[in-house]
Amino acid sequence: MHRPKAVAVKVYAFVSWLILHGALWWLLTGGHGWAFGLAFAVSAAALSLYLSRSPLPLRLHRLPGFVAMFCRELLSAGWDVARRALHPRLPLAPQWLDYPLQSRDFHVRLVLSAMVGLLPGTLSSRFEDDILWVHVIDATQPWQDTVAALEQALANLLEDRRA
Amino acid sequence: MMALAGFLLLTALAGLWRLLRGPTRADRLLPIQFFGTTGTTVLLILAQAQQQPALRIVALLLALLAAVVPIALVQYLRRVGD
Amino acid sequence: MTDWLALLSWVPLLAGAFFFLAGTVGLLRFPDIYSRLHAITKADTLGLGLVTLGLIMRAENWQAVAVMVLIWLLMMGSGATTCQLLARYQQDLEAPDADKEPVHARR
Repeated sequence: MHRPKAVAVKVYAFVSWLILHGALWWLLTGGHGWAFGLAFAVSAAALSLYLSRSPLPLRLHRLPGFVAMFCRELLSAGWDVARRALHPRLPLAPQWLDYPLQSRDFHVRLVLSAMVGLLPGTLSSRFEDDILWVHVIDATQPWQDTVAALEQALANLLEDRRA
Repeated sequence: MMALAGFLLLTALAGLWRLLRGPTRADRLLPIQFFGTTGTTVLLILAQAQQQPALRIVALLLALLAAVVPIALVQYLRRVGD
Repeated sequence: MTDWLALLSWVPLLAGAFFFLAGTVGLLRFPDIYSRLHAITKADTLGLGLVTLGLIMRAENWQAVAVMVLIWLLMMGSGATTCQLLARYQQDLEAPDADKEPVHARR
């Protein structure tokens, strides 16, 4: 990567963090005390930039579709688990299974491994060597498709295409 | 609205049984997450029902604590536990 | 606040309460720790989301709405992370042998 581009990336990340922290200040104070607020936003943005060296290149135009898909899955996940909990015979077939990860991107894998716990019937403890460890609540149900769909959606949303 | 808040508190209290019974150590940690979510929800309902917007900030603090405490606790138990 | 909106808000509020109840029932009835994690994580996150939706329909200003959405996002993130952490913790307790131990399990 060329030097000027690296600087541009840094500036872009800093400005994004600045807007984010500024919005947070506005939200929590109702728009008062901007002298403090500005100092807070600038230092918080600097700290965020220092702590996360590779800010996620989120594709904002894909966010609404992603949120809609996620809410749908969360709703069906909650319904599925509620049905099993309230069913007299407790229809469970819990098992640990492997899910082969498609994406090479570390951030996609990290977010996926956390979010899988909010999908219907799946839960993950960790990933290593391109394998996601998934606990399924009912091994007879198809679960791979949902995880694969989320992985694809996450890759579209935040995968680093430069790599 | 108050009845709803009370109902949620009752479900949280019922969850305490799991904390007392276990059997695994993770079972005893589960209600922390559970109480965090339910407590936050109850505070949000109270903020609305009693017209006390400040309770929303309390809910936000509880949510922040619920995010940090389990992580700290598990890390601590990992070092000390076994 | 319009009356019909306040009336309509009871749909997500009661649905949220239902999922909280289902989460507790799952916590008490499910036979193993991982299944219980499923119940708590999904049902409670959804319950909080639905109650938040119901309260948003009754909210007096945009600031209250934004704070509630922020709290929900925060709880969702922490719920998913805690669930994963507890599952990993329990797994390590059950299989402490070195060959099953992943690299990043212990610092």
